[in-house]
Amino acid sequence: MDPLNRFDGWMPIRVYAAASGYRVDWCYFGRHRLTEPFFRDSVQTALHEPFNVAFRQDTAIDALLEWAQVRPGIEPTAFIFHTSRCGSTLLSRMLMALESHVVASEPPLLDAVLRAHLSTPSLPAEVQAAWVRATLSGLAQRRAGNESRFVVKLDGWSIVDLPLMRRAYSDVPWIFLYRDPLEVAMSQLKMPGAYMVPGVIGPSVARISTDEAVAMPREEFIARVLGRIFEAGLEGCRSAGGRPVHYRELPEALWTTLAGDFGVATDAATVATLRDAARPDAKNPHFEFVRDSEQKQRASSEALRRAVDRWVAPAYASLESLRGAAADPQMAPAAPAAGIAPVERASLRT
Amino acid sequence: MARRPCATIPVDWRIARPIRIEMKIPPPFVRLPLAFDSAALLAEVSELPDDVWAAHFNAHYHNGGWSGVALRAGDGDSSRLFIDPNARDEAQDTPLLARCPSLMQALESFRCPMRAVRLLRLAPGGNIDLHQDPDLRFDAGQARLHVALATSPEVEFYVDGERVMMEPGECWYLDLSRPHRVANRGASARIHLVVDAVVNDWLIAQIAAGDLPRRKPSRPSSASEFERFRQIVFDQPALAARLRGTTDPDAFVALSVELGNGSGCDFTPADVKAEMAQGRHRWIAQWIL
Repeated sequence: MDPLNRFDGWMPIRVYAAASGYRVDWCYFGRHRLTEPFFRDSVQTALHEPFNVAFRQDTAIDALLEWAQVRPGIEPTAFIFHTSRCGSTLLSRMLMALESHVVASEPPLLDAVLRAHLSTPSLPAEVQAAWVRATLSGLAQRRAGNESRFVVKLDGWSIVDLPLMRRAYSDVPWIFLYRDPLEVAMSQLKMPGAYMVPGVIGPSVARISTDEAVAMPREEFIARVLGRIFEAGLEGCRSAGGRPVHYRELPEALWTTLAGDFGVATDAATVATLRDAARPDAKNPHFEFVRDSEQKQRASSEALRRAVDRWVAPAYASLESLRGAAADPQMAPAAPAAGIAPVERASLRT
Repeated sequence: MARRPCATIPVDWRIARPIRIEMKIPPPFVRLPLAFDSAALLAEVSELPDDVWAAHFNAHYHNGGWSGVALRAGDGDSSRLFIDPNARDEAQDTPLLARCPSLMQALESFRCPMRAVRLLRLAPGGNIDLHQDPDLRFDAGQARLHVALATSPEVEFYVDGERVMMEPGECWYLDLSRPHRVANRGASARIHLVVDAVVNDWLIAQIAAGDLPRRKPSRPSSASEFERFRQIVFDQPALAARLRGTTDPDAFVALSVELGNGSGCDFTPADVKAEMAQGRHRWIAQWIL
């Protein structure tokens, strides 16, 4: 067999550091599209097949780079950076509903590559950028056959890696999706993501040492990590061409303001498909998606409010005015009063 | 000995601080500088009546060919192969040990507390599937030592995916908290004297003075034969498609062995099952700290 065809139908699912260098774990996906809410769910599903646990290919990362030359995937259409708990999964699920779109939702191997320099400081940035491109190329193979767009939703902390993403892709449109930081913080306090627990994903996003982090109140740690994420988003939107998008603009923004960047058609049938996909709760198909801002605001503690006001509110306010400058009047930003947004108006259900 | 950091993140990080400690972790396996007269010990073992050998209690991962005799056990019962992980006291001699003066003498070589001493026999064709013994952690003060009494080049013992080739009379430290499996593909029983030691300075010094002899197997191991088959499958989409058509795990293992043997690769169901367990583990392990 031509060694160049060795990965036809295969998906890189994991990039990891071994004693011999970085390696890639490949799993056969065939014509299976990525339709699960997260990339890791798609892999989990694939691993139910005995073949996919017993016959995975394991190669040096060079094989992935060569594969990107031999079979370049769809060039990325747009990137979704976000603050977490802000409708990003709703957005990616809507895009998954379109057969024209390949959507990679928080692929852990992209994160592994984006943060490789933390464990391998000698890694040259241009090599790392080439790895990013090869990784996305591997994820963006046409599986059903008629896909033409490729959207990547990154992890909730990936905005701090924006410079590397821009190095790899200087022209790809990207958005920074966020919502009222108090609501994000409430959600993180209740059910923390890995990066909101000190030490779990390695060096803290907010550059706080693990010792310092575990000594501070959780409210403060969460607010400081969020603050860093909002600041990085603001900085990127100001100087690196990002578009700020508020949770409140969803889902309509996808077939209006964002349609061009995301390669989404705006005909009635497409909009109906997108609306349909927006209906179930994006992370839990058993629950319908309902705006929960009001409930979150009421439940927030005074300590969390103070921490969010101090660490996140300024960047949020700046993002909102930046967004206001560009937005149409209907999507006018909220009065950015110290992180406390007005009560949500509408239910998303139509 | 390699040093590696050991990270633990407790569930509720507000109550307990994450622990990051550095400790000495020995290699997965190492031959200790101790030598035993395996012929004399084996002569004694062969005098033992057949009915003292009890089937190993972990019946769900061996195929019936694994049995043992306790020489020292928590309650001095020779049929008691199970070692209570919570018992920290030294074990009592069982009546059988009194009938085995050479073994008794051999045990005096171990200058460390012993929680249990057993003879473990793996019959020809016997197979112990891939598993881990999490209580046998060196950093928890537990160490499993194997003295090979009767073995053959056809016995395949794997620790952490690596083959460990032990010769009669040798004593090995094995970190069996790591994934391990054994297959006796030879025609004679494998018998090891197995000591569960409590780590002390003497044992640490023994391990530090240990070595890893380079040995070339007389024929390719079944694990390497399965790896050869995997590469054939990656090169032959038709073969891969046939395997993918089978979703029932047992049928898949059987088909793999059939197609593999048909391709001239000499491996067993245990190799396929071990790779399946490892394949699952490799994906999940990235979220385990």
